[in-house]
Amino acid sequence: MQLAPNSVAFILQSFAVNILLAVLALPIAIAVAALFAYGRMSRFKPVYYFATLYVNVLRSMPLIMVMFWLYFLAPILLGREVGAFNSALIALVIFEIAYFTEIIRAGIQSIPVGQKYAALSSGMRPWQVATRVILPQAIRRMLPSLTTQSIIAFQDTTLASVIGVLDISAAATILNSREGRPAVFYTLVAVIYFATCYALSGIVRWLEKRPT
Amino acid sequence: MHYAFDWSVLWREPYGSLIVDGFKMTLYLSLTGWVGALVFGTLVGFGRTVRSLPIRALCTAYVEVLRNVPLLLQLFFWYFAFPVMLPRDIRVHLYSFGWEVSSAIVALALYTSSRVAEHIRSGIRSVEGGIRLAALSTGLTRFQTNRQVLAPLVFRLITPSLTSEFLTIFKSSSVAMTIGVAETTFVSQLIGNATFRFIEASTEATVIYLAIAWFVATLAGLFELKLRVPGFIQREAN
Repeated sequence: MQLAPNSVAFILQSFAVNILLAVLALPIAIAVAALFAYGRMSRFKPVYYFATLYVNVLRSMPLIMVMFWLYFLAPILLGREVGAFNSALIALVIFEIAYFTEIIRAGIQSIPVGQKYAALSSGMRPWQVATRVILPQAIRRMLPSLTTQSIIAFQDTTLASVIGVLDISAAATILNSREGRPAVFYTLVAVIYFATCYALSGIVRWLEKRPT
Repeated sequence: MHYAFDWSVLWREPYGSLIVDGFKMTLYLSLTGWVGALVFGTLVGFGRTVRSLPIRALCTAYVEVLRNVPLLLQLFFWYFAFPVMLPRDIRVHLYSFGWEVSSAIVALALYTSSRVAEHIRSGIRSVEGGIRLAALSTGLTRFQTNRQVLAPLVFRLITPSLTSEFLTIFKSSSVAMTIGVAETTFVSQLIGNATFRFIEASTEATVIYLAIAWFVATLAGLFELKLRVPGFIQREAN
């Protein structure tokens, strides 16, 4: 079970790619999803239909397919290569928007509608109702689900290796083909991922215990 | 954008029959994996509510490990790492049976079972208390209480969560392409590589996944209506 220090360094460096993908994709995806969530509740039919169609189509597709779509459509549409990393990043954002939209929508709709009417009748403007009454409560309620979905998205970043991004799963494959010790490398990357995600899911456990 | 479509790659031989076989493989992986996930998920989900601390700890560890490692890495573990940990004879036997497909099913079943177990556990938590005590006080044993009182109720309560896991397993089965299992996604990229018709081939795979999702969602809607437990709050209808 001896490991060369440079093998471990190589694995950790590649793991940074997974972390980077998640760190870049998640804030964008959540921000856009917040807009889409309002789209899903909009009374303006075109907006409602667009957001609903988007969410339903993307949630029916495997992430690998979205990655492939981006990987070969982007050069055709943009007229130049965007690279594997950027394709994976954009695919991840496009894919996770659909899931975050539903979480945010459910969070907003979990606040009793009476609160909205009460706030409106007290003379608040609609945007004040949203930012001062509904959202502060809704965000607290949706935090556990948002964090859980973020951890899932972080796990999903390993699929970027399918379109050629050198992430932790690709690193394990490279090291294995060089040294031929699958039991060591594939177990090691699984343990690294487990330790990270388990620590992150500690945040979820803490959020769930906290009174809302 | 100048692109001349050629949809004939979707039915021209040998691609037409490859697509059909890929679709069958997606169904086979998902349905077999689902059976395993339900069996293990139910056992582990109920295992987390028993009194024995070792069993509870074991079931908790099972769920945490399988939930916190990406499916792709789990698949790589079962496909590449697991066989070399076994004695040579067994390994040869595994490979002669086509370990690609079997390891994909094992990975899918175990990964999904950890999620099923979580749904079962939260289902039990939502009805527990009065019902369990009432059943025990009528003289039923703990096992009978679980089997005859809690299980039927819990399964009906968590039907919406289970159907959405069922939908997910079809999408998850696409990771099997990474170890060379010729399921829908694999076949679409194979055709793309062979003909350079990536858009047509990926459209085909996408349409298959959308059709599966639509079909399962429609069935699930009927199912959920039938299994609804009156008096309990269910997932709101969309």
